[in-house]
Amino acid sequence: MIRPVLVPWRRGWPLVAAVAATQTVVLAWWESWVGSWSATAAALGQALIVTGPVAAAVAAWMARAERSGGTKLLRLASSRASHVPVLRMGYECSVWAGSGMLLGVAVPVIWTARVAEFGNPPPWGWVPLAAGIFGVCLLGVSAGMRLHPHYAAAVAAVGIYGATVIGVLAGDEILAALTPYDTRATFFYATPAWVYLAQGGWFALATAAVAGALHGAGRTAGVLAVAAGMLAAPLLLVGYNDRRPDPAALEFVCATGSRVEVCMPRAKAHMLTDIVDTADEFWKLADGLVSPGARLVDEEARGIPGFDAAFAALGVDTEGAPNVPFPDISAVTRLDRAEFLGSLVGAVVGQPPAGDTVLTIPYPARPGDVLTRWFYDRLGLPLDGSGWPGAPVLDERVVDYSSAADYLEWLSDLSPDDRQRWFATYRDEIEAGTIRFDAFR
Amino acid sequence: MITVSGVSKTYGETKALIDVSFALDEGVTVLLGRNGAGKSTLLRILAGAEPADVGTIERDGIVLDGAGTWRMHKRRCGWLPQSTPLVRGLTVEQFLVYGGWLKEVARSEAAERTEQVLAAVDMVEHRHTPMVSLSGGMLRRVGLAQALFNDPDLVLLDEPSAGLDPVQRATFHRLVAEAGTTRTVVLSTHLLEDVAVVAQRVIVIDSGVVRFDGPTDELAGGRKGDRAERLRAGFLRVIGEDASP
Repeated sequence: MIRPVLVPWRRGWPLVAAVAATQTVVLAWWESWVGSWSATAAALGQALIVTGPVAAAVAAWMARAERSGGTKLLRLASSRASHVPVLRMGYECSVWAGSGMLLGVAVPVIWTARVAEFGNPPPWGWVPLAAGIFGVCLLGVSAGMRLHPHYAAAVAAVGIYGATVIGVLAGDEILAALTPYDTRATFFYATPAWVYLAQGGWFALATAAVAGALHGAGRTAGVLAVAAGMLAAPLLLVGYNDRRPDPAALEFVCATGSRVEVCMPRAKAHMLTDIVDTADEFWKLADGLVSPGARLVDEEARGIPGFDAAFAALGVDTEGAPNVPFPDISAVTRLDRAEFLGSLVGAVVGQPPAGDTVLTIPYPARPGDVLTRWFYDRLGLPLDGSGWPGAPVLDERVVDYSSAADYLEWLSDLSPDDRQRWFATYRDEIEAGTIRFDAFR
Repeated sequence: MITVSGVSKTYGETKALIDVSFALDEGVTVLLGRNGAGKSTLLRILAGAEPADVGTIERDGIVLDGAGTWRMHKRRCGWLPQSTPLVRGLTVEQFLVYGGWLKEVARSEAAERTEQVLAAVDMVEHRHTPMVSLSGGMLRRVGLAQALFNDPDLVLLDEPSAGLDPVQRATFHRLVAEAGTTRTVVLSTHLLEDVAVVAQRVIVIDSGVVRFDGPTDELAGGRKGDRAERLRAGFLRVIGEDASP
C-alpha cells in the first residue's frame, strides 16, 4: 500500500471515525440480524447507503484546504498532471475510509464467522466494496476542491446518496450486475470472481473519469470513460443464469418438531428452529385439518439447477404432503411469524380475497371468511392488513360478519377435541373451499 | 538559461503583462515593482501555474510549448507563492514531502532532502510541528524549504520577506544569497532592502511593462550615499515618479 502523503493520520482520522461510526450505528440497528453470511452481506450493503454519502461529505470537507490559494497554486505548479494529485488524495482518503469500514464491520464479521453454520464471504467480494469506497472518496475530494466549502460537503453527500439510490432501484433492471454491491437473493448462487473484479474496475474507472473531467484532464477522462464502458459491457450481460448454483446452499436440512417436520435449503437453515416452532403452533390449532407428522418443504429454489435433484433425494411426495412455499422468507431476514402463519392459514383454508378498504362495500361473510377470522383471532394476527406487507384486509370495512356471528361463536366455543373431530370431518370441503354454513353445528 | 520572449497576460480588462522579454542566468535577479505591477503574474507564468496569453518561454533553448516540456521545466523549478500554502493537518515534514511528491521527487530521496532543506532554513527542530502552529516568519522559511526541496535550478520567490521581522529578514537574505550561488533565483519584492542586499540584477516592472533590466549597481547609479536610497531614487526614476523628497 502506498504510504499516505497528502492525507496523513492527522488529517485522515475524521474519515476513519465517521465511517466507523456510521457502519457501527447502521449495523447495530439492523433488526433482522441472524448471524448468517447472507444477512451480514445484506446489512453491510444497507450500511453503505449511509456510509457512502458520509464518506464523500467528510472527504469534501477535508479537501477544502486544497482549494485555498497557496495550495492550489502549488498543485498547479506540480510537474504531475493536474488530475494526479486529485486521484492521489482520493486514494488516500479511501485508505482511511476503508480503515474506518474495517473497524465498523469487524465485530459483525467476526461474530458471523463464529456463529454462522453455513457459507462464507465471497473471496472477491471486497473488490467492488473497496472500489466503491475509493469512488465516493474521489468524488468527495473533487467536490471539495471544486466547490465552495459552504456547500461542497452537502453536494457530495446528496450526489452520492442519489447515485446510490438510483443504483439500488435500477439494480433489478439492466444494472443488476453493474451495481457494486448486490443485496438481492443470490444465496443459492456463487458469483464468478471476474464479476466482482469487473464491478470494482468499472466503479473505480467511472469515478476517476468523472474526477478527471472535473479537473481539466479531458483526454485522460475520455480514456478512463472508454475503459469503464468496456468493463461495463460484459457486466450488463450478466444475469442470474450466468451465476453458478452453489450445491451446498441447495442441500436440504430438516428439523422435526412435536407435530411437523420442516426442510429448508441450507442457505436458510438458520431460521429452521423458528419455523418449526411456529409451524407446530399452527398444527396444534389446526389439528384434524392437517396431518400430524407432515413435512413442510421450502421450495423457493425450485427451478435452480441442482435443486430438483436435492428435492428428489429428500424423498418427499409433494402430492401428499402439505405444500407450503416460503417465497417471502429470504435468507437475509428473520422469520416473520405473522406472515408465515398467515401463509399457513391461507394454504389450508384458502387465501382470502384482497379487499379494497375504501371502495368496497362490505360483503356478507362466507364460511371461509369465518374460518380465516377464527384462525387469525386465535393466532393473534391483525385483521386490518397491518400484519405484514400484502396482508389481506378482513375487518368490518371489507367483510360483514354480523350475519355469521353465530357461526363464529359456535366455532370458538368448541372444545379442542370437538374441533379436531369437526376439522377431520369437513377437511376436504374446507380445503376445497366448498364448506357451507350448514356444517357449523 | 531561461528566456522569456514577448509574454503578455490580460485579466478581463486589465493588462497584467505587456510584451515582457528578458533572459535569466545563474544568480539572484529581483523583480521590483509596485503592488499590482505584474510581478506575481510573471512568477506564476514562469512556475507554470498559469499560461501566458501570448509569448514564449524557453529553457536551455527548448521552447516550453507542450505537456512534456512543461513537465520537465516544473520538475526543475521551485516556487514559493506569495501566500505560503498552509495545509491544515500536515506537519512541516509532511508538507515538504507533499511538495516533493508534487515535483516527482523520488520517495527514496525524500528523507534526505527533508534533512537538507530543513537544515538550510534552520528549521530542523520543527520538522514535526503542525504547519498551523508556525509563526509567519517560520512559514516563509518552510515555504523556502519547500521551494528548494526538489533541488531546482530555477527558484522563484514571490515576496519572500514580506511580514518578516529584521532578524528573520537577515536570515532570509542569507538563504537567498546562498541559493543564488548555484541556481537561478528570481525574487519579486517591493522592498528596496531586498534589492540592496541580495540582488545582482534588477528587473523593474511597472503596469505590466519592463521599465529597467540591468545590474543592481546600474539602477543605484554612482557610489555616493546610502545604497538603498540610491536604489529608491533609481526605481522612482525608471517608473516616472518624482524622486525628490
